[in-house]
Amino acid sequence: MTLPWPRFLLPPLVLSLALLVGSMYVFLKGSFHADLGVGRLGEAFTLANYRKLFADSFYLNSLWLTVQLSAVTTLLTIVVGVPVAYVLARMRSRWGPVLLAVIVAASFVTIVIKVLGLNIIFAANGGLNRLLLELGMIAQPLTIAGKVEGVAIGLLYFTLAFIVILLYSVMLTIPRSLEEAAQNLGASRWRMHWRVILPLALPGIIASGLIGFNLCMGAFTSAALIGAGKILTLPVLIQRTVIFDTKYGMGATLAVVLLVTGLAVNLLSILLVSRLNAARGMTA
Amino acid sequence: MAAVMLSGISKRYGDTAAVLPLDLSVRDGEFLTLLGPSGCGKTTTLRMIAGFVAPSTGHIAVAGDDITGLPPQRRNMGMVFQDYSLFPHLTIADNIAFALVERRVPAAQRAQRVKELLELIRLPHIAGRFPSELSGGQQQRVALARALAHTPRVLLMDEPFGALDAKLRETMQEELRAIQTSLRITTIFVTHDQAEAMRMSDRIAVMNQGRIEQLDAPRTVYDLPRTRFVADFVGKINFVDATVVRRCGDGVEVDSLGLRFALAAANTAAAGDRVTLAIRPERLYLAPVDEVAPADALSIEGAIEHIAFLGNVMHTEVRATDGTRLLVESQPADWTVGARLRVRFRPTDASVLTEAA
Amino acid sequence: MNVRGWAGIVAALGLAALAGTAQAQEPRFDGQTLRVATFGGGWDKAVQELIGVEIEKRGGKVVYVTGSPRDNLAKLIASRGNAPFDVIEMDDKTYLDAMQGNLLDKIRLDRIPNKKDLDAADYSDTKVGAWVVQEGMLYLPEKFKEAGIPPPTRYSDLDNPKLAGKVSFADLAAPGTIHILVSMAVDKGGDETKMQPAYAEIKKINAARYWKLGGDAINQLANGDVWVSTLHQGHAAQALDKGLPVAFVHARSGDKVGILRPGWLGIVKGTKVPDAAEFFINAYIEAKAQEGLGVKRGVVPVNAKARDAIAAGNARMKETAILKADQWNKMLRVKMDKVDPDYSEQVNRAVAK
Repeated sequence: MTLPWPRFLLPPLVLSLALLVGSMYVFLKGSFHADLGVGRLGEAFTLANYRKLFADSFYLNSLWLTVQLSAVTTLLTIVVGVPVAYVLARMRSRWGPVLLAVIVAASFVTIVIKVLGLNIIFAANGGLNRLLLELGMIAQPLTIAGKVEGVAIGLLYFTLAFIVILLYSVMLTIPRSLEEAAQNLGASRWRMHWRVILPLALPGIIASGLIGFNLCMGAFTSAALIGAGKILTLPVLIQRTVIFDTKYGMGATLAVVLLVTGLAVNLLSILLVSRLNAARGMTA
Repeated sequence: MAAVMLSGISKRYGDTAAVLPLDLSVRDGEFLTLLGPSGCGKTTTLRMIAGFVAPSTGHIAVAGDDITGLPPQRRNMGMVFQDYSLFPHLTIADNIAFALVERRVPAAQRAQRVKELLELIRLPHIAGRFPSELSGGQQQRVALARALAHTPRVLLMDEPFGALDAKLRETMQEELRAIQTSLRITTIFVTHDQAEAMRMSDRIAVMNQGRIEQLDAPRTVYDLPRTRFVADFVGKINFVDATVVRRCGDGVEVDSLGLRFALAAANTAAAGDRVTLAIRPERLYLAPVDEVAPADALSIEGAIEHIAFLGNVMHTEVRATDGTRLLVESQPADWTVGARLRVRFRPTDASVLTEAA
Repeated sequence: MNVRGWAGIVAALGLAALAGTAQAQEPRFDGQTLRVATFGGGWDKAVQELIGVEIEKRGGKVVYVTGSPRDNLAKLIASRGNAPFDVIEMDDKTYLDAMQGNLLDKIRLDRIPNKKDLDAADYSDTKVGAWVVQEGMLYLPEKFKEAGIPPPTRYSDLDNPKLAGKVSFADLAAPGTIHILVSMAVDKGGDETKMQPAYAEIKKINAARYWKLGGDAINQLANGDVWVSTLHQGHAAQALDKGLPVAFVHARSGDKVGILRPGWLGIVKGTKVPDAAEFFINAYIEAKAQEGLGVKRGVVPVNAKARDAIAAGNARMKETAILKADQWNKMLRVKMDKVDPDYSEQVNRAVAK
């Protein structure tokens, strides 16, 4: 007798859908009602929140900052992560699994702890700054707090381990014999990477990048802790609007805009990848 | 001058030796096969020639040039991999042109060469397809075309037909041999399939535990195996104990199966040495006890212990009067288990193994 | 002794007996549980030790819902009428929002006899003062001296090119920001309703960081990341206790010196134990409890007797806080209900990069 396995998937599916659709419905609906203060929403349907958001450069700048920061951080993460993942995937030494385990463990560490570490590294009278000051490489201590660059470093730190693990599995899918074939046919290591590894890993890199991008778009902690109240990304603004101003309608509107923007970027990228795949005769 | 020359090449991984120091000289235009079971060092040897494995000792020369220190991309060799290793993101035409792009061959010439090669492998219509759209046999041919595109000095093939079914494999073997012969390209082929090696090679190097045990033409390897391993690995064979009575000319006179006869022997066995004779089952004949044997044949009496009918042939196991078991391959005939008969053979069909018994 | 004298003694004894019965009849809270929303991080334990025990001595139980006032307000709003606690400890802004949301019950002031020791400004029929902190600036005097910057006296002193990158400022989410903003507005001739000067000033100061937790700002000073931060006198005491080379200054707003930022107690609408809630509030402002909170947690008592006791007995508090009645009366009090309702948005815009 075969067990009806698919039936076991039903409860988690229903639960996930209920939670996802339920919460989405609540804030989608909330975004169409005016704030009356202290968390109360008006009865009437209105587009006022959206009108305010799109007419106000303050909110648009925050959205743009969020997208920009996420995109730049994702690019950085990919640039740092791809070589690391490649080397790990190709490593024959017994240290390979150990290093991978370290990276997996690093991804379990909460971002709060990581930010604390960054703050210690970049403290004005910390080791790094004292060293650089003494070497005369900087005139003023380097700081990450309240700096866009600092938040980017925090986000990088936050997503890097996840991305390396994802990219590692992407690299594993590329047979080593393809590299040998390329070299045998006269490609140097650099040419081999350019003509074989990179194109083959590209869909995986884009997919990993998207996951990184989504993590960044929703990241509140790094922006809040390192941004030190100056880097107001949408997640930070949403938190302020909901918790501090108790304007649930406007908070919901910001959340909807963040979600829709993220979805749009993802859809565009998926379209791009399926085009790429179609072009090489693979099923997307 | 030898096309490829290996001198004292060996490979060690830590404490284990994959390939013991060996010399091998591949002739120009020759189809040479490295044959042996898995782990015998044949693939490692091929990969040292290709440049993917750095030898622990020794030198590799191609047409007299030492290439031991060159990276793979500068050895100008073509290699066909076991899993084809076609680039899945490139069309067939781009796969074949890969090496030409690396050599900065102009586009027009590239296209011409790709066309030629597609015709050579008799697949002129697939230029625009992707590897995933091809059958295994088609991918195999494309892999060959790709390895030939830049007219390499040597063609290397690592068990290229391993993934194909038996029938397709035969077709591919014939095609490859035809192409190799027409191009006269020096080819080093690795396989564990002795029939494949026999069918295709000019010479076979039988490898075992990191050594080349015998390097000869297929016929010689089969008929006159020099070691028990080679004899056993290439087809079925009978081993018979013998004692050397005396040396005579190029051969020896031996005492075996209760008989005394002379046969050729390459080794230096002296009188009194115990040696092993090897004789193929199809070189043994079954005859009624009372039949008179031809003058050049010897025979020994025995009884049938077991019969296996295999369609075109029959395998009969005979226990000789001195206790030796012999396997005989013959045309199907009406023998029954327990029947007494004579097993007949020519001394020239037996070979003396080089190693001591 | 004459008859009158005897009568006096008899009367006195009678009164004492009466007082005795009154004590015997004091309230009991058997089977009642009072839920109090307050700060975590040890504050709740101090409140329990000094005030909660008074309920427990009388048969009741006190449980604490901990979190920042904003978070607790969010819980209250989310509960939609089924309040998760009975008493809430709030900052000014949270009190104002809670009032606006009609979330607080009236307090029967006759049940709060200890209010006699409080300024009239420190209680009403919807809130009773719990404690006060005094906003100012904590700075590194040596760094100021090295850079040739005079010690700050008012927030606008932070607008100094020599302090670029060296200022930490209270984040909007920190409870004192509004008081600092009003001080800045008042100092420039504005007030709670005219806050524009404050927004312009905070933009000009362009702090390097905005802190949400006072402890973070103290660490930034300790690490040398910044040279000065807006903090209150309780933070100053903490930093001095740690031995940090800091100095505290009470901020000036016009002719006023120092800023009072009160914490409030309120009773949540729909509570089932109003008597226990009022008893708790009364116990909270009792002189001994107030002194205890001040000594243990560094807040300034709203109870004047407790202030006097601390001024007499606690050197650190005396050093950092304004305790004397004449100075106390000259400090800035913020009229929270008058504050520009758009201030948080205005500040966001001023500080965003």
